[in-house]
Amino acid sequence: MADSDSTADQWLEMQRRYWDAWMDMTRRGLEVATPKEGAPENPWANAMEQWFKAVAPATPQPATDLLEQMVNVGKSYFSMAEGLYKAGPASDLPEMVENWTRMMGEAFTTGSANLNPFAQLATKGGRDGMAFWDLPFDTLTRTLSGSMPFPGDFMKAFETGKATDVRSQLEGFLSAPAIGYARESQEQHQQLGRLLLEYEKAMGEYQAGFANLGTRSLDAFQKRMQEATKDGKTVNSVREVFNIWVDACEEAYAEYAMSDDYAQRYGRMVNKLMAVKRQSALLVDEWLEAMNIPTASEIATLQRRLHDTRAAYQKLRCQIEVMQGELEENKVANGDLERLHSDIAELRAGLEALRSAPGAASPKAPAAEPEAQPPAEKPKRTTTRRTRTTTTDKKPAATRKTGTTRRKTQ
Amino acid sequence: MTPIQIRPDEALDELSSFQRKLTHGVQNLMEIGEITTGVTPKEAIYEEDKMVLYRFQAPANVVQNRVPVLIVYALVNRPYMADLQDNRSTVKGLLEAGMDVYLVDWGYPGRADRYLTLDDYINGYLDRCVDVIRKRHRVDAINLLGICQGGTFSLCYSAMHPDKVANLVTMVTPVDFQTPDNMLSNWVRHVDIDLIVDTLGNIPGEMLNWTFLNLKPYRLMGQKYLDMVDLLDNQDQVANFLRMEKWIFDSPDQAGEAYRQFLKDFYQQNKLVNGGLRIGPHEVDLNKVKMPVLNIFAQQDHLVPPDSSRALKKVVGTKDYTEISFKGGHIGIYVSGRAQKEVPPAIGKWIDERT
Repeated sequence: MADSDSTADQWLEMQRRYWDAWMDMTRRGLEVATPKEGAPENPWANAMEQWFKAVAPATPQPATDLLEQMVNVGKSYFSMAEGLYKAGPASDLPEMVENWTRMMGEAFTTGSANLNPFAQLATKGGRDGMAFWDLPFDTLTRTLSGSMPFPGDFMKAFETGKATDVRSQLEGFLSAPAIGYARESQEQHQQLGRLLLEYEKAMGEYQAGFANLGTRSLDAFQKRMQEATKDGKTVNSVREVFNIWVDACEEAYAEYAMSDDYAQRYGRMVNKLMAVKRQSALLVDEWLEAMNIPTASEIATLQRRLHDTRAAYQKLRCQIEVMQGELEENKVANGDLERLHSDIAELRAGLEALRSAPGAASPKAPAAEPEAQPPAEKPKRTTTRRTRTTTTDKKPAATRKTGTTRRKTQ
Repeated sequence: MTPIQIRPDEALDELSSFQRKLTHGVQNLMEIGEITTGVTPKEAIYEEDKMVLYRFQAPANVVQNRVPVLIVYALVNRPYMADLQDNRSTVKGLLEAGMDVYLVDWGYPGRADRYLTLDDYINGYLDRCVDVIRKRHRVDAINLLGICQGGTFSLCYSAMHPDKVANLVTMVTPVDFQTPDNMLSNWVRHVDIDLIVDTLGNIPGEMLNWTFLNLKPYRLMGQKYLDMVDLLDNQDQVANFLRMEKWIFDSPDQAGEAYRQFLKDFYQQNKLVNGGLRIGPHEVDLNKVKMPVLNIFAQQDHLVPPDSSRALKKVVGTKDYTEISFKGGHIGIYVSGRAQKEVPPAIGKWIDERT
């Protein structure tokens, strides 16, 4: 463990020395002269890239991802500072800033990554050329590659003029008439081809929507600068410039993302992508069926049935719980009734005991009265019977009907 | 005259300082270890499929309100945001405010869960959780606290089962899904939701991540990592940042049918406000929400615009309606220092006054 710590310390110390030495060298170079022709375009950003390459292999996850993100943004930050230096004599700040803004404008209009201070922000690994304002599109590309039935860079093969251009081949395939035994299958594949071309077109239109985002961001940046000047505010660090630039980019992006134009392009692109994926799944299903392997649609049917069965089960379970609750309540009520019966039985037994006790009449003379009562109960019972009889008499039809029903049931 | 006044030597010092912080901070990054989330002890009370109902352990020295609070979180992202770390925990704050806190964890839907509907989630899982809590505490109605999409669910539930909800608290909850500043709503206007769900089954969490990050791409995918370098020398700050990153990218897939209805009925047709919303056999009529309602929204919410939440006041049936406007964003309302001081105590006080 101690060895391991020691190794880590040495390694970190090496990184620090590397960077310190590099910064000293850069500082000396800066003091001597402005950048010369033939020197690296973005020496500080390049240095950071080199440093990251040295550090990354020894950095554990998830720290590597975070470090990579910080380095990527850091390179853009450094590029911005370098852009300021390149823009003109450092002694004349207004001219420097004016030149820098002009260079940025040129970068947007020409698409030059070298002039673009944020050109390396979205780079990952060896991939470059994706500008800061293309971040939304870049992340979309990565996300959608997971939804495509083809490799992530498959659609690049459709770009006209490239060695891998498959568009012309695909168009030829699509124009071939479907005939013969495999007609249906050919039509299905042709449909997939058509959908791929439609998706490629929709994606191109979506991407084109971002084309002016850079210049709009620059307009927003300049507006903020003008407002700061008007308010007498000063910006004293590259970091502040960077933050103002981020705000400007967000403002331009939000304005576009809220537009109907964006919503339409986005909707078309997503819908076309889904159509491609769906057609691909259909073809895969046909192949699986031919191989007697369960298809996605068959599994979906089973999943739906399982879901419906579970829903029915849950409903029944809830109903049973309610019924169980009612049953418990009934049990309680039954218990009360039984206790009542038991109490009555005890009372009766007690009464009988009192009646049968020798000499009970003398000390409890008043209690003798109930003994005289039994004859009085008779009319009561009779009354009940009469009532019943009366009821029966009043509704003879119902009684007969009930009786009929009973007979039928029996 | 330009407002930019940067001397070259100062700019170089600035870059040098940045790189030095980065270089030194690498050591902290290497030593950070596993990122843990969810700090308050809790007990699983009820489980069904992948859903788990938790009850948090209250501090011993606090007198609890007799009516428990059920936190209903969104289907997107994970509910540990409400209990992220010791000094950033809405749950902890609620417990300290005397609340008896439960939480629904919806889990991670798998492909076999693609047919789960909003009816299953709200009238099924959520309703059974509410019943379990009512039974445990022998109360007719409990308090609901819905967060974000979970707030919308809580609102719908309260409209469909008003007798089971004593008080309703909604936090950063979308109600009107078509306010002019709702970017998400604009994006899905022309998207064929049926085609997406029929094609993908479940909706991948990564797709949702992309959507949310692209609401403010330059800030969320760029600037924040630059700001992070300034915090690298503090291991606690690094851990906090990584914890938040873990949460941001911890997005469960969405059950296809639930996503279909949510996107179509809520985002595309705005039925919660316009009317005509049905979930399972029930009509969702917000006028039936007669219990007291506390609506908390964030002033700088980029995900749920404040006006989307504020719309509740006009459509809800209760006469006891309270609003809290929090100075912060959609995430800050759970985790910022100000939120810890202001939000849970305010919720506790509001509930105590009504139970």
